Amino acid sequence: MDSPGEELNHRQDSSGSANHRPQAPGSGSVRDRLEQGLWRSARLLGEALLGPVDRLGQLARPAGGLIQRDRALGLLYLRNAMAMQDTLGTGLARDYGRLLDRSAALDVLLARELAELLPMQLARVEESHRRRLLDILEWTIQRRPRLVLPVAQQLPVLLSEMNDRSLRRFLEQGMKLHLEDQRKLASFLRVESDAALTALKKLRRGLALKDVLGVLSLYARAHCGEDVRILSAGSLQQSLDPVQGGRSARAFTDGHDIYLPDVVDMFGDERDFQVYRVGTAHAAGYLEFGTFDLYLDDLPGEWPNRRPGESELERLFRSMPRSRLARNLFQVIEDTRVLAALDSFYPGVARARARLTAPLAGLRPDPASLGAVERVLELLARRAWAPDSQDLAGLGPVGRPDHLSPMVQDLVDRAWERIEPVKARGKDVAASAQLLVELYPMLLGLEQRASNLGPPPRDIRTARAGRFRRRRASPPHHGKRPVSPAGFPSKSSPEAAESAPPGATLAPQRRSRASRSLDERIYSVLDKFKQRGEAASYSQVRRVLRSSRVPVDYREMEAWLASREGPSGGLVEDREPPAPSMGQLARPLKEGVMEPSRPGRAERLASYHEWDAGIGDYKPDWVRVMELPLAEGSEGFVQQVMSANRSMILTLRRQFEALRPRDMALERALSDGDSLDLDRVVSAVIARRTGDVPSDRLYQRKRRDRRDVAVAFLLDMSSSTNEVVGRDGKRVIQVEKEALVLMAEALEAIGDSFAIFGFSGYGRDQVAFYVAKDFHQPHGAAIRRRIGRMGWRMENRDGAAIRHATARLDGFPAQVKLLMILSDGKPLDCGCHDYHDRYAQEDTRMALREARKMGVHPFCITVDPQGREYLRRMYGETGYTIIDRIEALPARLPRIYRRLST
Amino acid sequence: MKQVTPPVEDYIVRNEPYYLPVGSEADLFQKAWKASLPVLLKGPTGCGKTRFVTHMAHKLSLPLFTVACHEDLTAADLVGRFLILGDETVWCDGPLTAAVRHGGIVYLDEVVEARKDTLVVIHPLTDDRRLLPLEKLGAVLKAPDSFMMVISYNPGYQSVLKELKHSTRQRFLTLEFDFPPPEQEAAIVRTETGIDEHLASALVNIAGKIRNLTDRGLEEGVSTRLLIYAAKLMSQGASPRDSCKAAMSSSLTDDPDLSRTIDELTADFL
Repeated sequence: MDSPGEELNHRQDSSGSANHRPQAPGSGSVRDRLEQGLWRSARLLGEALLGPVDRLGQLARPAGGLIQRDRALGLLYLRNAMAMQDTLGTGLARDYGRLLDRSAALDVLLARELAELLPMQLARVEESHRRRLLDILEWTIQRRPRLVLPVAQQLPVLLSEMNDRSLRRFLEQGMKLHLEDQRKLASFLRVESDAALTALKKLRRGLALKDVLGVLSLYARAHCGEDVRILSAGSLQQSLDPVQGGRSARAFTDGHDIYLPDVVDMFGDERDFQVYRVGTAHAAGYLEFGTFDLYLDDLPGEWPNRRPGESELERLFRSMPRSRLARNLFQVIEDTRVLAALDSFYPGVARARARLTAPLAGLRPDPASLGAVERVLELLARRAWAPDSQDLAGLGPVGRPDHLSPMVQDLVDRAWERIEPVKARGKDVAASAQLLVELYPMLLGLEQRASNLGPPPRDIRTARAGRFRRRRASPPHHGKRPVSPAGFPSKSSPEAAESAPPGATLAPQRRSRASRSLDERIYSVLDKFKQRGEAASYSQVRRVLRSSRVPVDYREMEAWLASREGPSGGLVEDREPPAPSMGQLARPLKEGVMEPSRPGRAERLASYHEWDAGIGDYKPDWVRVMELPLAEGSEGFVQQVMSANRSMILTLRRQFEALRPRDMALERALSDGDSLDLDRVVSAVIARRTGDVPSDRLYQRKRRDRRDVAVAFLLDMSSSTNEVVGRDGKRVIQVEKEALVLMAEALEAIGDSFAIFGFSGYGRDQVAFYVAKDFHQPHGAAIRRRIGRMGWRMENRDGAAIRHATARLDGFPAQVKLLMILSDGKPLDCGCHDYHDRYAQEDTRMALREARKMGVHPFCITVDPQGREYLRRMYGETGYTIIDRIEALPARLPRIYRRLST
Repeated sequence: MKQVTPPVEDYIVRNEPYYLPVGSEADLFQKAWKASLPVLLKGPTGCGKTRFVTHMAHKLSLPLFTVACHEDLTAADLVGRFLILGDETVWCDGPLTAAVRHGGIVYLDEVVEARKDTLVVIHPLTDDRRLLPLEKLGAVLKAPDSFMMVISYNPGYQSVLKELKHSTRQRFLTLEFDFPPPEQEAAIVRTETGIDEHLASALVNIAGKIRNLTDRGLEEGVSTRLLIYAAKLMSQGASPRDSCKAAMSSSLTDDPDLSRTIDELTADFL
């Protein structure tokens, strides 16, 4: 256990960066050993993965330790960890190594299996759950190392079901029951047994985010009118930040998305939902009332130059030496402004806030336990939160007055005098920024005086946070955490994770890489506007650019693809994809179109022109489309879909059969028609004889009421459809296929002709067009199996595929022709340098226009929440629909079809 | 042969209907009428298209003949037909013919609901000939200068069978309608129902937020008409929450998430 390598690992983890440390005496032997094993493998890997060698440095130490234990394990780790560095981040890659080291100390073979499995599982779960996953596995290894594999297999699903405490209890129960039988344990963890279900029900308390996600997403969207996503804050938000109210999972926004805790369990009744509602309204309020519309160069003062990927808020904070202090102070000021605006516009939110304040006051920190500056911030935060700033008692614990109190109170009063005016209508974020600049020196001064005054308060832990140690710019979990006896960072108490003062916080520093690069583009556009003296706000520019969120250069594109790409190449046919190693992530993009399962030959070749928006003209014979038949897949997928949706299929069939027209409908009682309706003529004559007024509706007509609709479904089979969505780990393409299976049943019932196509490809000379069902083929088991065979492939060159599908529809005789495109995003083909962004969208738009000219009605169904702008451009106001949650697609598709075609 | 034309008095708009112009639509409409041009009113359900036409008919002192279009509407329903009354055959004018004879406005509401072959009869009336052939009577009516054809169309239906044919569309000037801006919409709700300013602006704020949800599962945003319904319930003494539930969340959607969201939005303001 106490080998030098082991020790090295730990030191490195606690110090954050090992590069600048002086060489410890005796590390020479370690270095020697490292060099033996490492550089040999690094050379091999460098060739295989084309990774820059310097990145290896960060993995060198964990790898060294592992190679010492077992060479194969070390190599495996290196290979996977390098792929992880790009997709999941260096921190996780290192922690992954540490976990392997732990388990290798007990069982090398086990560690090898874990090394294979873990990257997959980490990629499957949401970002906020990844560290939890590692923590729970560490915990498992300490207890029952043999059971770590089944636990690791099932954990991704369970993480979103329960909080850490409940999850540990659940695992403990499972382990106790099935210590000997791993198979039974796995089944317990899959919640298949009654015992498991009971245990789960008992442990799962409170209101889970996943149960109200739909409502909250719509709610946030309604409030700020922007496409914000609601994501899980999970246990990410664990900080010692006094303003944020202790360690807590609290709602926050990074300026792009809104993060909410996984579970709220504070009241056990309807008020738990109100906690979510208030948090969402508050976070959406920052977006709605323009917190991110800051443009520093418009304000007086000297500002540092903007760093790449930096937001204006971060830049503002950096302009002050104590940026963390600046951030916390700004939070208080901006909350005063935003909450006042929120309250005056949404009286209902103000009431909900007021109702939650008193019962949850106990969650606020006791001022007496805080240092002088934190105390000021906490007291100001309470005033910001108080609906009318009158009644400050009951907002939180008061604490015993001490030697700091007079000084603190004085500063709070003076600061509040300055802050309160931002509540006025029409104040914007610039006002808050200016206040920050004014008040910041006051707090610094207070800190000075307080430290001259004498001993800090008793609580060492909070006092340490109070001194605002310079933290590295890494997320909180990289910071120091209390170290448990086992040598691993201990988690904060799980109970705390669900309780935090209601409301939300700002966290621009937590933007994802994608959001940062989007910001970079937004600011460069904004700068250009400002240089030209034109008015534009950050949110306006974002709204435009969000709709074209596509990576810019090739490297970025590559990273983006890698992050979306699942670990399984080729066709995904069945539920559980096999678990190959992470190395396959680096699957070369140069490969051409993947061969269809059975070496297929193209049945038809066709070439089409393509619209070049740059030159404003068509490029003749530019793309080549190959039509490939799909082989039949196994029964598995289809049977599973059919049996899981049996009742829905029955309802659909009934509904659509009712729409099926009778061949020759006889219309009677017409005032005008082909022939006389004899019955009615007779009664009219009788009426006349008896002096009544006869009806004039004496005619009848035979109307050919044939429903003459042909529809082609065009499924985007690009690699991005392999993304895992929803909690049950389904991929976009699986859900789309499910929808198609159900849709086909409905179409059978109504009797419309239909075809099912898929498309993919790479580059302009290899657009692959797969035919699962042609118009003339009768629907049946074989077709269903072919639908099951559809899987993700390469890129999507929409224009060409739409042209080919239109040509196929054009050749089929029907009065109404529909082309339904199921897509997951924008057209994109990086097998060719041009086919993205505007070029691709314009070409698609032209292809759609050509289709309409040929009498084909295109309609697009997409799952891209950012799709509104570009879809409107390509498909027109009414030619598309965005499905909020893809899980709803199987139910929604038939409804959309019915609306379109009747 | 006897001919019956409905008396013009029945079609005069006597009391001035309330309409708050949002842009230049009233002016454009009047100029189109003077220039003898047909007009298409395009916009979502319940945003005031029908009210606008009624208002204009009153303003221009023209009789208004409204036809709510539906799938079984026949050309005879529009033009007129023979009826047998006693031993006599009587020709009865349809609303279109009546409007031509009286020189009024004919308003075909939700014109896409009518079958395409029915709509062909209006074509000769909409170009510069301004003629209505009455085949059964063997006559052709020339429309007087004051005659005007107005149709309405809601583009939000998303049904390929319910798109307006281009040959029809191209014959009309198009006035686009949308929900009025917040202050004006609040003024409309207030004037129509007499509820207080505070409630009216709360209703309009709710509507603004709900309209952010269109193409998020909501096919159309909440209409001004529904706002007025909610306000009317309130002025009858119903509680604001109940009124909004009846007029908005339950009317707009069957989706549980959406209707819950709409309830929460209602609670934000009331």
